[in-house]
Amino acid sequence: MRVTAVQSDADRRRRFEGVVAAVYEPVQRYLRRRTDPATADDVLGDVLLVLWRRLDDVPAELPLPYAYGVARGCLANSRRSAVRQERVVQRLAQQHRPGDDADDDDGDDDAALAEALEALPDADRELLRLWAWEQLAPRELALVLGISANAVSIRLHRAKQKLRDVVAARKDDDPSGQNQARRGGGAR
Amino acid sequence: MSGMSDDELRARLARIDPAPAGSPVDPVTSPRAQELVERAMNAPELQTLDTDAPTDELAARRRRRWLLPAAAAAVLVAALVGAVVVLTGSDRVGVVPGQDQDPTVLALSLPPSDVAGSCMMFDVAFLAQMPVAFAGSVTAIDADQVTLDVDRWYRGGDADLVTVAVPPQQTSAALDGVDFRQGERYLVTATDGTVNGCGFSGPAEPQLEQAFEQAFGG
Repeated sequence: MRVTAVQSDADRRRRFEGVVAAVYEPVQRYLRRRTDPATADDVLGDVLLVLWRRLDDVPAELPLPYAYGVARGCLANSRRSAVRQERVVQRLAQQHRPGDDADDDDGDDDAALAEALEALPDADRELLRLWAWEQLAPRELALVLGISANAVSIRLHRAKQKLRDVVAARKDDDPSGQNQARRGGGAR
Repeated sequence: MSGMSDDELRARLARIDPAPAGSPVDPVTSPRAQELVERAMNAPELQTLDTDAPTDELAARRRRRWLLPAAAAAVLVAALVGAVVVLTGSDRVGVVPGQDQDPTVLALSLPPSDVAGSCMMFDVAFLAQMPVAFAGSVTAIDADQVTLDVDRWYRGGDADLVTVAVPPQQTSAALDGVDFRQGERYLVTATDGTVNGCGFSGPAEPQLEQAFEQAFGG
């Protein structure tokens, strides 16, 4: 009994190291896309802790979407404070200042898109980020979010349309597109 | 921009990715990665828990039970004829009217519904990080709040009573919901004044109580 336990413990550790190898770097990007670096660092340790604890539930073929799901939960736990949320929004707004790019029109468009993304409900925004940034397929999105692939498809379709609508509406407000970022930033 | 195809939209979004693929992160071969791996595998709470298999099943059961979709939650509320309040929404609690003996009161609220959409898995190591944890029995269920009479503080307070704000509108799915019933005893955790659902708060069943004991060191 004891020998079996020791063996399975070694197996478990090996398996965990395999999972960590697959998820360690992408999960850091996942966190940095959504929070400040200090929080990302804190939460990374939490994610590994949960993955170790839930190792038996980690699907062998899809460890990464599973790890994203864990990271999502850990992040939600860590940042229920409005202050932190605000810090993230400010950081994102700064990162996408128009004029940073060589081509100013592209910079303006990027800023407008970033603001439109921020303006969406959290669930839509997260779905779009997972789709475009983590590049997940519907089946993987379903695993992260704990909903069916069918529901993912429907929600993703709606979220894309909402994003297009928000971008279009903001553009209509300001046909020149010049002051979108500054004005949006002030309203926040 | 409204005419963008899906592919174009995805490409445009990728351009504003704050941490694109290939951007520098701590490599998995780093000393820090090794340290985090070791720390995870050697976390004392986890080793204790590993010897305690039934907790897994309990957590899974609890998770399933509490991840009710909105429709099921609505049915539940109807079936329990007002004795149950499904908590959703994000309203802040107001000032709490004093009871007979002017007891001290801690006011909590509920997570925003968007946060509630995500439930992380129940885990004692996480439970141990909750800054507020207590046991108490429901003494009143009002239209806008539930009141619990605290019989034990595990962490983060010493108030006699805790109130949990119930928003006037319950429009979103009760994904993070905890159902409180009059007279029943609960184990509750909170972070930043927000009650945690998803198995981190719930009826004071022996196994949850054991998890609280483990997490908060008795």
